Amino acid sequence: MKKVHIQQQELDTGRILEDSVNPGDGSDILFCGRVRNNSRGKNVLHIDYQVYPEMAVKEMNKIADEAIVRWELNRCVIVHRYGRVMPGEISIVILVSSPHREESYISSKYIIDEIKKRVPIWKKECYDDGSEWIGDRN
Amino acid sequence: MKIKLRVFASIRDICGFDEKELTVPESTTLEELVAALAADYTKLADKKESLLMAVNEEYSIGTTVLKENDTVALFPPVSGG
Repeated sequence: MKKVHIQQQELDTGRILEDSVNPGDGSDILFCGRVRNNSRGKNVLHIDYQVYPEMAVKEMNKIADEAIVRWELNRCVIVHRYGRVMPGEISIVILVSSPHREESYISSKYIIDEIKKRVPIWKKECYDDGSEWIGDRN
Repeated sequence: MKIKLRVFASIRDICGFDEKELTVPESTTLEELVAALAADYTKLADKKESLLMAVNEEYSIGTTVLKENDTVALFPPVSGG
């Protein structure tokens, strides 16, 4: 089972974890990325995520397909938020399930690392005294 | 020929629009398009080294030749997660 999407509303991790459970799987790894209230010594008020929707979903699907084939995953869910996300809130959820834990751990890391390299989503950190696009300080 | 241009994040801030239809000469390459835009939006030139480009939602390189009705996207390094 593969599900990939982007959404503005808050993420329901319990629902994602229990959706389409495969009784043959002995391991689920649920990775959640959260917005921190600080970054490089600054107080973060919130992050605004901008997304290129069509391409982001396409790239996330490619990454999910790569992980499913390489580690024989039975479940792979990637959900990324866009718009305003407040400190403490979850910005991304990655769920992978497979019969044994090793494949789940490795594939989960692969997916988040590839998302950070390839998926066209940008975060703008907003502080008390301004804002800054992250990953783009030229 | 007509193409659609979409820009994101800091590139959108520089250009002041999110998407635009453009008319460009036949066989224009991506790098030619970026050079033409940099003439209008001078701050774009500072971003050229790190600029990422996509055609029809696939990452592309500067020598890519554009076709009628292509959708070109220009954006800075991604920072999702």
